[in-house]
Amino acid sequence: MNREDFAEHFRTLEVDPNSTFQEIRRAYHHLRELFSKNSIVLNPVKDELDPEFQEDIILQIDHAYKELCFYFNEKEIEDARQTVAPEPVQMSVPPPADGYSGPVLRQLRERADIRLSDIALATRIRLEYLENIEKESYDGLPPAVFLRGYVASYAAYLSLDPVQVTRDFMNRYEKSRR
Amino acid sequence: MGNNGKKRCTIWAVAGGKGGTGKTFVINNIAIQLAARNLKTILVDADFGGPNVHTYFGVKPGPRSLTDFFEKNVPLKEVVTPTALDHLHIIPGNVNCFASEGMKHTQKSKFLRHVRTLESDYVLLDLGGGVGVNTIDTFLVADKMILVLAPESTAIENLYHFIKNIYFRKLKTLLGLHGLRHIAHEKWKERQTNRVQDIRGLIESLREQEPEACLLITEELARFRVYLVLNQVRNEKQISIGFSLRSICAKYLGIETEFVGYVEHDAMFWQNINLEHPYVHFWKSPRLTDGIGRLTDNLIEGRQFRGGRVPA
Repeated sequence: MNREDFAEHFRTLEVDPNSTFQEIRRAYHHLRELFSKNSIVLNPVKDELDPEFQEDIILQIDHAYKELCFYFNEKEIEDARQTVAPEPVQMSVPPPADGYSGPVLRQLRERADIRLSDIALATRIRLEYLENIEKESYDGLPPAVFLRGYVASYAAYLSLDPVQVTRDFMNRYEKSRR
Repeated sequence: MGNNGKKRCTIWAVAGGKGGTGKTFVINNIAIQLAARNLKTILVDADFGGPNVHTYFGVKPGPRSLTDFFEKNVPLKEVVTPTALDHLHIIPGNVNCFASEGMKHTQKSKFLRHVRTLESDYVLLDLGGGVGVNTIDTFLVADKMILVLAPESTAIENLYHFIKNIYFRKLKTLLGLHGLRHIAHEKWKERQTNRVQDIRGLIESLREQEPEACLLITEELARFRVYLVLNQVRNEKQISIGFSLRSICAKYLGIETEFVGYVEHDAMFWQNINLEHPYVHFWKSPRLTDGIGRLTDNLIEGRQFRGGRVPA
């Protein structure tokens, strides 16, 4: 999007160019409702414009919002990548002799100096679940079908073999359930 | 600049179609707020329909008023009357004459000439609800045109009419200045049928004949800006009316406005309005001082209201 289009979208939504996305969203919803519903503010001027011009206004508002959404979404992902979640760290560690348990995973993670919150952010797994995986607090974890996926994502983030990690972890999980 | 290099005073004016929206109340209290910021302020009561600025400040009508200026050729600066507040002076209105048609053309020119020479930081004009051409022309030359409305459908409808009418008047004046008065006249007669969106069409149609004049007129009209104050706000939801009006004026009428703020309705204040010095009670109401203070700052900066405390 070029600079001029961008400024135009902000103008259409009547927001300051330094607005946060939340402010933009609020402005959009206000305008969308204002120009599409009858109200004491709109009714006196309803006949000033031909219907197609009225539709045009709504289309412009929608278009501006869509473009800005797209821009902010891109920016959010980029920011997350740059500042919060670092790239997965390569760890050439041989698989542990007793298989991957929760405490072992934790040890590996700490050795690589990776925070659980970073993994939570990148994998979109709740922090609480990640903590319970490491603690092997099975009662605080979702059903096995979901858990398997979570463990795999966690492993992938630590550059471990997801297949092997999930197999080991789920074995321990099954055993404790019996 | 002129005036021997002295700083020209800033003129703010309040006018508007609908009665009872609180024009006088708002401009009086803006004057108080400016004076409280150590800005020398003169408030002129040019409401020919019902002047009572003096009552608000507990100043007895006469001996000096706008009547002396218009009828006895007393210079305007000599009818400036002090109030009990520092930095705030008033020019009381025509209480003893019945001027049904508002300001006359000759009065307007003389009035504006004198207003500009007043030694003050701000000169505030209360033009009342008059819609006479000369009143509107006076409004149009102000540095800031302020419109006060209440959150009611009737007031909103009249506000649109008023904004459209003064915009047309401005266009007509501009066309006249560029020797295009004949066209202006025809178009003005047909203003009932020419909706505002046609203004742009009119300018477009003139562009081929008079490209330079059109450019200047377009630039001038782009500077046209009305400042909106929402008065008598009783709940949070009503505040959004200010923002809505701004959006609709811009997108439907192509006219720029700024919503500078709102004033809450304070029942306590209105119980005290009948006491001897109403303005004193203004300070006892934080609801009023907050609202007017904030919108005064926004007017000084020429910026839009940006949220803040909402009514309880």
